[in-house]
Amino acid sequence: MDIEIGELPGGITHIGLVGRLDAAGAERVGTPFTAAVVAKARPALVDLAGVSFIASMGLRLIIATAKGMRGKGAAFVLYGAQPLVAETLEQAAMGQIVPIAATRAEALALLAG
Amino acid sequence: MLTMETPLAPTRLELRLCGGAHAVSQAREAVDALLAPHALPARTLYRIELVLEELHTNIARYAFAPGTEVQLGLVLEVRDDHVRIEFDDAGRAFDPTLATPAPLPDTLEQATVGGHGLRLVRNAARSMSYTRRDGRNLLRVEIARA
Repeated sequence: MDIEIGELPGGITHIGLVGRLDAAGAERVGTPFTAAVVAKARPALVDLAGVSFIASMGLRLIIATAKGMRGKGAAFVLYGAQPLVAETLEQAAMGQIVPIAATRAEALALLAG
Repeated sequence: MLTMETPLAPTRLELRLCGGAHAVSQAREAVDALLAPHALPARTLYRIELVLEELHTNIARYAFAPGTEVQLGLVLEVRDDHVRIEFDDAGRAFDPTLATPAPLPDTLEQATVGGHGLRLVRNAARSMSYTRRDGRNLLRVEIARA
């Protein structure tokens, strides 16, 4: 599991996750992910297009991050999930917890809204 | 006249695993190799990976006392209309068929950080059965082929 941390215009943190967000993957990226998103407390987009698999430990990381961002009043949006990853997110009702968009443009619109 | 016989692809594997995350990775490689000739749909393969991941994580994290060596058995068998996965461990008794997943949240405030693995396994499985025998947990999960 790899993590790519960048910045978009407007002070938006952009995170790209690539690989398997399973127990091993979540353990590998958990600390840098939290540091880049929650610790900065700026609006953040997370690109899931490179995530081929997500399991409960990946869901745990996303929910903990969403709660941390809510506590700091910063917006947090996921986008680009592949179909089978999107199904897993749906099974955990992740759409009720975190805004989820199909594309980066839609994700940016959600952040702006 | 000579005839060519297509060799039958193996349908069963049996592994002993430890508790580390690398064990799941090794198991996945072996399972992928077994399943490759069977041309299962991507969704079925995903469900099989979810079940392997979640049940291994559950046993490794919760079935054994801290400091105890984690060992579990895995049998995977490709059948006519389903794939059968059996886990076998000597950890504390736990019947996941009786456990109730937390209700799905309507809001972030309601959401619990953990507790999603069992729901994912139940959604992936066609059926689950559990037996406690001779101090061992025996869990069988069946996943439909299509």
